[in-house]
Amino acid sequence: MARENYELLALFMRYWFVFLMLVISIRAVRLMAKERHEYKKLIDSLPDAGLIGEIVDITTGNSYPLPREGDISNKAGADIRLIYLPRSLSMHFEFVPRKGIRLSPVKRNTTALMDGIPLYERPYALHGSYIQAGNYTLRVRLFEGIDVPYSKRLSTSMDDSEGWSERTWDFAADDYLYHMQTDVNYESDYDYNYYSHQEYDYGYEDEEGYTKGFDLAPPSGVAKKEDDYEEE
Amino acid sequence: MRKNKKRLNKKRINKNPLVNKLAFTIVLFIFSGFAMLTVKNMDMQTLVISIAVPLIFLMSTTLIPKIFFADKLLLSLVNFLCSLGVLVLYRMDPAKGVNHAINYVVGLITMVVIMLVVKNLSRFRKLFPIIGLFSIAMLALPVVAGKEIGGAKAWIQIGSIGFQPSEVVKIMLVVANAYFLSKKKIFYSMAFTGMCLLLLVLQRDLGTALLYYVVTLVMMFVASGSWALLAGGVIGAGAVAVLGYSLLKRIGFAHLERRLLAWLNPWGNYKDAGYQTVQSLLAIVNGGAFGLGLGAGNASQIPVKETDFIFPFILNEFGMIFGVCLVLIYIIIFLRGIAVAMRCNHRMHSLMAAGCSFFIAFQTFVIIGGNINMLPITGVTLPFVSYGGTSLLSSMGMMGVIQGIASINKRHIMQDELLADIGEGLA
Repeated sequence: MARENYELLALFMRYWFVFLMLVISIRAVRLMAKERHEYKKLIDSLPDAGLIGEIVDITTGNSYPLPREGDISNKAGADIRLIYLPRSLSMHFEFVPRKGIRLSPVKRNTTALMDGIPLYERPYALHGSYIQAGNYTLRVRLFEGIDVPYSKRLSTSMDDSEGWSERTWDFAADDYLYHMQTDVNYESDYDYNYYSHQEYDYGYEDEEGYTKGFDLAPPSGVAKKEDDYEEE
Repeated sequence: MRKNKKRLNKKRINKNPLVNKLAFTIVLFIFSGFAMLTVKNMDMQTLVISIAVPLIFLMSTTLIPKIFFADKLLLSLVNFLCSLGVLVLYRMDPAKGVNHAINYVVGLITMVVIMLVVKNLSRFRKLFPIIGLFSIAMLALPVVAGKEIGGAKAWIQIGSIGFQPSEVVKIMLVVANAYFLSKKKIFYSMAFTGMCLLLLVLQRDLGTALLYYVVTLVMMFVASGSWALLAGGVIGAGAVAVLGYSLLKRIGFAHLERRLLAWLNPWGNYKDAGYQTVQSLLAIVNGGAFGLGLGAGNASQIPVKETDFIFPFILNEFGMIFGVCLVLIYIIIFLRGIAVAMRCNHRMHSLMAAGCSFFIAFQTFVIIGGNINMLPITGVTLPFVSYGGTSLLSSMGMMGVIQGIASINKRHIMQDELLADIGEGLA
């Protein structure tokens, strides 16, 4: 094409290019705004988005939402803030699909434990795991459907012969393990149930003031008979 | 569960008409541009490339999001910038345009590979500290056996292939820093970046050193949220710049003084140090609001117009309105990258996405600022558009990191939807 003709064409087409660029920019901005709006709507409809469960402080009963990754420490910016947790017991957690929640201590010489395993061994917490850090005893609860292996520890300690419901067994097995780990010696099953399950009503008092009708006992299967209490 | 997942995947990939409209407009733009060049050149090569580039754009913007759950808006805009680069470079020099098109395809492949690596990042966890050591070794190479171009000894020449290790190390810097900062090892991060900066100063590549420093500082701020750290970093950098300037110009950093003079008074040094800046400013002014038209511009006398000064060249031919829109597109890419970082569930992912977004944004700011004489010229390239294989690959690699994290975010949201469905089912 002749130079003059091409220059004329170029002069005409420059408006076309500017127009297209304006359209591209406007569409990109609109698309970004629309996508942001849709994302916000989606997040509003999913109140548990980004969370995989909760961590319960079993001494106080407080529960903290558990994100996929974060810190447990006394800092203001921590994902799970425990204000009386010593700095040396702070830990980092990260959800690893098909494995569990990997716990790693911030300080190497930590005394924190996960189900009796020191945190410096980088253990994986599963549903029902206990974390012992200072005065805090935390329990991990994961949402149904989270991609983690079922806790072998729980399944091996179960015995269906007693005919208890699965949920009861779950709690009982957990609490038994907790009892084993924390070196707390209860004088009787009554004490055990009373101190470890204050929030539940486990029985009733009869006319003479004895507690009866436990629906939960240590999974050792050696729940005492009613007569034993009467003797006491 | 699998059924649910499939259903949700289908729901996610639903056709968004606005994305398609955007893609259509971009294709129209690229096609119109190459059609004009075909009319101008009247040769087979231009015709082939005018069909090939829109095809590459279409294929990448439709296939990659479907296969890898990439962010379609980001991908469309990045592809648009790359195509614009091919168009403008082809208009300057057809050989460079073809080279850039090849680099664009290689860049897309690099992006997909890095996306896959990022999606399986936990498998490479043990490699992160090694990445730090490897980066330092890479940066040490030009100091030992580098080739000097434009005052900086930042190039390595192996046979006919030349590359800039500092461009490759950009991604490694972001990954290694994200790893250290996610583990709260700020000292390691500082030591690593300090080592990199030292090697860059030895290479006399101060523009890249500035980028490394600022990006690390921003990543540290994102990780710690400490304003004191940010303020300390900025004040420290200012003090080092003032002290370093007087020291460095005595020990062989003559180009630094030239660039500073060109920035302070380009018109006073018109024939010498300020020549580039003055030509750049003249090209922008000559272009006016609508430009002189593609292929009819008069900015061919700007030195290094295909790399450092491609922005004034674009403004000369397409106009200032186009330039403002171009800046807006970079801003959208940055904001989108930051949105990806903010939606992350993992600290390291978040830091990586923020670091890469900020790298691209700050590099754009520095080079456009240099082109319009707002900042001294630093010798960095305009991401995705400027000529240069290593630069394009590194920019596409960073985009791969952002895209990989965006796809992880999408996967997490899908999992959250599934969990909500399961929860509702149980209730």
